[in-house]
Amino acid sequence: MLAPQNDSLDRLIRKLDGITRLSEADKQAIRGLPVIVKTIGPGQAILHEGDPSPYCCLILNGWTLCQQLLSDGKRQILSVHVANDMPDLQSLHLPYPDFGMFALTGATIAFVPHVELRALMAAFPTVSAVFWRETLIVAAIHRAWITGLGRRDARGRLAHLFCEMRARLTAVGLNDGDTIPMPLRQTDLADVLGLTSVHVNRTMRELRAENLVRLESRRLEIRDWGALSAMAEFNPHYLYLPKHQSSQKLR
Amino acid sequence: MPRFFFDIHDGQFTRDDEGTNCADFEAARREAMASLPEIARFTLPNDGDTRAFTVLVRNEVGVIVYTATLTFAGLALNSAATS
Repeated sequence: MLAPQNDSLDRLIRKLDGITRLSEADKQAIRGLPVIVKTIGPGQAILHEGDPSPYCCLILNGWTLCQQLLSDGKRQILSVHVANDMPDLQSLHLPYPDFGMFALTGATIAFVPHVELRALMAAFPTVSAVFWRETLIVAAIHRAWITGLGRRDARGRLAHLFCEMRARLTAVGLNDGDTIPMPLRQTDLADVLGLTSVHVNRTMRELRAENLVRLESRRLEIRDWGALSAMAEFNPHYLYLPKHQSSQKLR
Repeated sequence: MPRFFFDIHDGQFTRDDEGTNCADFEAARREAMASLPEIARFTLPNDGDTRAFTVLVRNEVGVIVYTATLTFAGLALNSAATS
């Protein structure tokens, strides 16, 4: 597993370097991290709520979802993660996860041990700062979702999610022009957006009828970015995407 | 899981061709009960004072197994307050 391990650390370096410029010494230190790369099947759990894990996850490919469950079986999806995301960096300091995470699609995940990550951060303050910044961006995404869940109407919620995913996937090169993968099914979208499945279905049909999007075979084509992002009042600023990536995409 | 189809009438008819998986009839009924007020919540403020939202729930063979209507009837009472 040496090749994927090196590859995953290079991915991590490119990602972090996009947030804050790293020195050669920083990069060399990150390359020294031990990682365990695992393939997780669709629907399989990665983190259980309340179950401490000695690792932070770096998603190499696939999609994962973080969620909380209520006793009557209702679920709120808290966040959606794609390649190059680190969904549980907070576990470095908050050992008992207050959410569960599972793979939505098949996923490849690099697990980085807390012990070595802490030692790296203590020795390299720039690396420490860049991980802190990454955690804050995750918090900014949560804020955008709270405003959506609390105050946007159904169309605004769905449109905003589609805009966000397009921006995030484009930043990691997973778009095909105006088309992005969309493995979230109707019930997943309902649990992301805090809506009923029937309402999501109806809202999706409205967006399709207005020729804003087209969803086919788990791929979402954004047919009118201007109208969709206006409806969503989408401003990508909170994602803090690297400049060269965000400027070529948001037309 | 059986699939149920939720057609919605609210001035215009939206036929559900995609459907939603529900564990059983009871789950489909609860989905209908949760969906109508939710759709009304987001639709009403942009529309008139009198609206009815009806759902027809079809099972996989096309038989209507449940129907419900939610009505909103608003009336402005003081002409001075509305001018």
